[in-house]
Amino acid sequence: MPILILCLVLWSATAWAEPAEVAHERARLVSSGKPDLTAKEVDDLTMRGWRNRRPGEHTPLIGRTFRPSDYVNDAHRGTVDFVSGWRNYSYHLVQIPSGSTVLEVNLSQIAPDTECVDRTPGIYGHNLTFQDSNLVNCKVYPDWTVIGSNTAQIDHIGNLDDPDQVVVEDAVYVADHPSRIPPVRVKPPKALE
Amino acid sequence: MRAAWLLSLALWASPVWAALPATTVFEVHPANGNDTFGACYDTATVVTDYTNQDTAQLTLTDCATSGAGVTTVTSVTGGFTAAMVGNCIRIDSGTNVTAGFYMITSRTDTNTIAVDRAPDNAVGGISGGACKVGGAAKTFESATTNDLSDALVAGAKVWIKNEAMNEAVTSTISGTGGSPIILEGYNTTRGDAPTGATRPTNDRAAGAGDAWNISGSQYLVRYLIGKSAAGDGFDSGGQNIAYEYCRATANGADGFVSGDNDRSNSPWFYLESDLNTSDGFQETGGAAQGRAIWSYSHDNTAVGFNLATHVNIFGVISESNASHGTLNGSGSQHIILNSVFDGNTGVNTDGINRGTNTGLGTVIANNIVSNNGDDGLVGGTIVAEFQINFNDVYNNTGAAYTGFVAGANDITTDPSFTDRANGDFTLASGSGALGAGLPQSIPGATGDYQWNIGVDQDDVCAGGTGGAGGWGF
Repeated sequence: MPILILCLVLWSATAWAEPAEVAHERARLVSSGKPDLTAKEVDDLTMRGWRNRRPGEHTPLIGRTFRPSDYVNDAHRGTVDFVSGWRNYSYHLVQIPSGSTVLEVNLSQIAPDTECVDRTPGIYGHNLTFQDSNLVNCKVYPDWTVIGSNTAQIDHIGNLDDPDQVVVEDAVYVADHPSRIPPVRVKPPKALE
Repeated sequence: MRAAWLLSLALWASPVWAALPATTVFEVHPANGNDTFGACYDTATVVTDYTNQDTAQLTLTDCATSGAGVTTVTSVTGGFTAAMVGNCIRIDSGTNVTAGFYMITSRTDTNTIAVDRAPDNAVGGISGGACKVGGAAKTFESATTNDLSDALVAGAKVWIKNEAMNEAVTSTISGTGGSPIILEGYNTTRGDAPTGATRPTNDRAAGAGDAWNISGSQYLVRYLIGKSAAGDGFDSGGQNIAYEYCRATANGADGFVSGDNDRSNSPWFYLESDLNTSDGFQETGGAAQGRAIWSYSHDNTAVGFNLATHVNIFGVISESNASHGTLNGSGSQHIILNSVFDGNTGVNTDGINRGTNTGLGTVIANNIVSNNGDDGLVGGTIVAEFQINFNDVYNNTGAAYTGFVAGANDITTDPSFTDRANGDFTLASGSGALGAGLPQSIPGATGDYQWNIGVDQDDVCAGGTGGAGGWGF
């Protein structure tokens, strides 16, 4: 009987003492006019300290308490949808509807020849036009039209000692286009990938 | 002894030690110019400026001098006119020629002129010289020696016309405090102060190096764009390099950078840095005093304003960068006023990250710090009341303050930007940041001086003024 009472007390404490991160995020969302946390989001925040990024959530793309479910670290930030009014997709894989014309976006990646656009057939990433954009280290496809954009390929040297804070210390130019990356090349020590 | 004296005289006469006058003006037409053209004139002596044209005014292949050290240039073909005095003649090749720009100081007749210094190589007089008067240069760094970059002198000015351009410009010559070297872009008419895409754009098309690399000191750089370089848009290696009305976009490294050593007093005015793969603005010198004023850093892959030591930030917008809105180093004199740090993205991305320095020189006031990926303001101990105050710290994902405590007059209301998605960070009607800024009063003075929080001062303030009563940004 005392054990049952103890369990009840512990359960009660868990249920009522909402983790500070959950309370903080709940208050932040409500104060900014966004829907309250779902039960799953509360579970996610409680268990792993962050929740999945909601579709269309774009200010900013990631933060301490929300990120795409395939987020790996600060240099591989996961898949996000392309939204009007947001232009910085650095270190993300972005879902751009096929046939789109994209003006002045940043799709920089940490390592050369990286997929920066989702290429799901029939939906994303085909027959795109990029104008005045930053495609540094992006893999570039023949069905894309690239106008006035930067397709340089650059090795970045640094560390991800804190996985959520990439530190770039140096850069080494590889090529002006992914198709011209030397087939055999020696990457510099501590090259980030 | 006599031979040695003659050698000394010859060396003294060599153009290696000579230079164009401080009143020299160069003209660059990046698409239609030619590096064998005259390309410069002396504002103090010019009769007719022949540089702002795509063809040479006079082309000769038989320029000659009578001996080493002689400054009288002759041509049997001829064609020299009185109106050419004060223009440069580019002598590009020929026997005994030291290629370079030479100023025409006088004209005797159609076959004879005098130039500011001997054009020979100290071996003997020149002959068969390829000479051109007038016409604009095409590049700063042509294939020949003694090109435009080499010919710059303190006080010189370079006009750059808005034509297709792709050159890794390097400029190593220094100006002086009172006579800086000026690089200024224009669209169609010199001094037309172009905006947007009408500014000359050095589009490096993913080529190696920086678009504009200035390692000399004492420069004023205006109305230019550095785009799509694998390196930086504008890299300043020297001291006291001021930028105005320039843009760095989609470069593979930083937008504007002053780097590795003491590069003090490098002010940035009215600049835009966007879509670059590293920082929008970076000033990391040892005793550097980065000064970012009325500038816009957005959508860069790293920090919006990465300023190391004596930071001065006033009236800037830093938004949607993939790291901190501003990251400040160990210096103790950070002044960050009337700026917006909004929507910078990243798990560890703060609006203002000032490090842990606790110097009393720090003042962070009248800023909007909103919607950032992690904390609003991060820093060390604040002692004096004026150090952090009158900021609007709103909806940052992490803590509003880490290390800092909230200022007595800080607020936490939605700043209600007019249209942030389209880069409009003015305050919409009803914004809580209107009339909520510093100062409420100035000791000893009468009247209401209260500002808005943020950059926008052009709306109704607490004093009841609007429109012309604001700053007019």
